[in-house]
Amino acid sequence: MKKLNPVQLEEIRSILRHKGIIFFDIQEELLDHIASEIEEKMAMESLSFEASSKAVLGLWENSFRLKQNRLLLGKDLYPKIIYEELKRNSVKMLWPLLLLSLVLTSLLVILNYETNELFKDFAYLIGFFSLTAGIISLFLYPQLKNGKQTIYSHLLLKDFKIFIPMETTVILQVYEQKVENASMYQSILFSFFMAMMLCFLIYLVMLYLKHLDLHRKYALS
Amino acid sequence: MSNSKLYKGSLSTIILKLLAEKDKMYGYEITQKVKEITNGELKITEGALYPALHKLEADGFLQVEVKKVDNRLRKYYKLTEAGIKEKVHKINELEQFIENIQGIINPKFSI
Repeated sequence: MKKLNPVQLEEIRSILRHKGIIFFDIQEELLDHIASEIEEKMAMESLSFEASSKAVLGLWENSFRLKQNRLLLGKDLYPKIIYEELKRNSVKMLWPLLLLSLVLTSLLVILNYETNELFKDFAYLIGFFSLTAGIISLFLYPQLKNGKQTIYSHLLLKDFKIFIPMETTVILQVYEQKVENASMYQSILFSFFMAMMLCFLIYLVMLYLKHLDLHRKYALS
Repeated sequence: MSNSKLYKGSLSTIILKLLAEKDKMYGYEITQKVKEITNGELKITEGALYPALHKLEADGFLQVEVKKVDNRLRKYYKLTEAGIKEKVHKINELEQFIENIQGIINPKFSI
């Protein structure tokens, strides 16, 4: 069976990019699938590359249909096949983290009630930790933006924006020493923010590790 | 095929079973194998195949290997230890389901 040459493969890659398949891992996997289908069609029906690719890509139109995510991913439009991946990776990953943050909130509230000193130390620790994480993230940001994008780096950059106001609130609260004189209501709210931020940080780290793992698998790093 | 809805719930089981029979497979190869076994009756669409493969991978049932083949990168899937156990579990579940359905559509009445 005649195989597609690099120019023909690049042509399909460019069509995929144009259709919104911008994440290299999904792009390469679909490219291999589509190229295999085209090669088979060319061999079985003695068609040219142009005719075969047009016929094959036509069958993929449903997967490329644009869909809007109304949940955590904002108002952006994504091809259906990408949308499904984003939904699986963001929404389903966030639920356990939200649950964990609620458990952590309860623990922090109990800690504040039992020993305010320890709670204060913990708040300072999280403030320092979040500041360090924020600075590291700023260094990682250009690398993620310029390197080959994966579904995980996309989510990381997208969700990082939610992290900034949360992080700022925690740091400001610690800096202004509001932790010491907080009312019960304020301390619950602050505990919730601290817990959310810790869980969110875990989520971002998980995304970054998955991004790195993909780069390693595709030998791009 | 005429009613793909009947197969939809069994897609993960089909993937796990095929991968148990061969060391590793890639997406297109899986669709072709299914077509071949079912004489073209069942055609797995890419819209269903890749989300199912990626979910199995995320759940730790499949591991991935990327190789350069014919000027492009090919992603191979293979079963993990957990995937082998899951395959046995899923096959048992499916066999039980088929037995129950047979009992409903073809009941054996005892006198």
